[in-house]
Amino acid sequence: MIIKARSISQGKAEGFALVSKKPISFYGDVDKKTGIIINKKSDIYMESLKGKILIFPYSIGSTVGSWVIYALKRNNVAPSAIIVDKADMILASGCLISEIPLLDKPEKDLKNLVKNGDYIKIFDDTIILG
Amino acid sequence: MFLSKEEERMLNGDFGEGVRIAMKLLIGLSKAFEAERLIEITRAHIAGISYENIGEEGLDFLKSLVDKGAKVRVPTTINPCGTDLEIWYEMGVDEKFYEKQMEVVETYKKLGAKASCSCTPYVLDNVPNKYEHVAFAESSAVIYVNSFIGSYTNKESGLSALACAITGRTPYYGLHTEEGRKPNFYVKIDFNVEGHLMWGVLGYLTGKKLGNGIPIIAHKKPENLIDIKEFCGGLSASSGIGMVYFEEDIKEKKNVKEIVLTKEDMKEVLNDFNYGKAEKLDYFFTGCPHLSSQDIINIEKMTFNKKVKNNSKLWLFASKSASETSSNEILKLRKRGIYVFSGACPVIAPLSYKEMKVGTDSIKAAHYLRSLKGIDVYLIDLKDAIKMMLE
Repeated sequence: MIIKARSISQGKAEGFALVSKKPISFYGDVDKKTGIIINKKSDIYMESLKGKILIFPYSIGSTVGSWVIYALKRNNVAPSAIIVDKADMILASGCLISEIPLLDKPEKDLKNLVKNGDYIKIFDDTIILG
Repeated sequence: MFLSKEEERMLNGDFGEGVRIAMKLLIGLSKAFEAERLIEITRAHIAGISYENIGEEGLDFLKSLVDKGAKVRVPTTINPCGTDLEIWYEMGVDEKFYEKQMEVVETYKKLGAKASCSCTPYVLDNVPNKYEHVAFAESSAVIYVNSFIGSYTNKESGLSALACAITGRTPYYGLHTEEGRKPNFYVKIDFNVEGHLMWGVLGYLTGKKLGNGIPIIAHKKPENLIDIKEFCGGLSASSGIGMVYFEEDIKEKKNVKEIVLTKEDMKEVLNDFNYGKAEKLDYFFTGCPHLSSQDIINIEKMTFNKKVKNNSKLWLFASKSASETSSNEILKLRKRGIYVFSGACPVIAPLSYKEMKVGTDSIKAAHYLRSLKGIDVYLIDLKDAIKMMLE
């Protein structure tokens, strides 16, 4: 299945999906050294972001979140790409300087369509499922 | 998206790799916020200075920009550090942190920014005029310049403000446009607002009720700098609001939703921050947002011939420029056991404040200390606190 989205930070990526139905605060929720979700209230608690196509609704919290995304990339534990409902300043700034593809406003609600472990390919604004 | 010839050249790397990265960031942000073009800016103010916040990776990124030849194109100032850069040891900060903090500031200097280390650039260090388009991070300063000067800025992040400074551009949307500056709330106040602590509470309460948007505050515009600073600080801590109007700014109130802030709302906020509940404090600080030189002079007068009690801390936080113009007062205060720290922020300092009874007259600081450090904070009027801390 091919789904179009807005490409905020362009690029190619592929990998297994990791889906959270809750917003993520990169500052506080993610360990920047390991890329593991450390917020116990998260529905992807203890999951690793490394190499994943991370799908979640939107980001929240401090603008320091941009630096956490950059740190994940530097420590080789960043997601391969991020797809959200709506991108914001923190997420967009972080992904753009880290060269992590960021897409938002997908035509279909991926949070409910995609399951953890589904394989996804991304070319700029195009998402290929299965 | 429309780009001028010069902007295209920036994107192509004609001005170096550092400029290319900054331009790429702005174009990505323009897409996210549906800006159709960029607009030239005349100055910038960058946040994200404390090593506590940006860490080694953030520092590496800044250094890589220096290596890639990036320089700011407009007068640019920076937010406070996690420590005073001269008397860091008096703050209880360790040497390693001080050295790393120094490195961050030196790197910003290499990028061409002025090491103002202040959250109140609009007082002395980087003052925009009316109608000037600028790129300011530090949300309390954003509210100040939009609402009390009439300059135009969006609420930039630390990173986006840096990219704006390097390119001399910012995405044209939101508070840069007349359409984006239209008010949508009318806020009536059911209680008296007097003194800077209460102005902070009014800002905080307004933000808490509205969350976002542009309110008209049904009140005369505050005139004292300290009242305005606290109002902007409170509002920025509890909301995403980047601009307000006051009664006299706007005659016709069209298409605005009316909101009433009641006495009960106000008491709830005061109660939430333990106002009037402190009988004894171990540590009281003031200067969030940073004190001006007039504020330092006032506190010098208030503490004349007095001394700080044993085992008590009375700390003031001021911008570097304010400290430089009040060095006589600072010396006198020091003899009374009162420390004035320059260019530092008490909230983002690497201090735990655990097992201490902490008080402040700033609701913004109380809010962030509580959420970031997990401690209880006592909101208290400056006069009362000074009385409590002195022999």
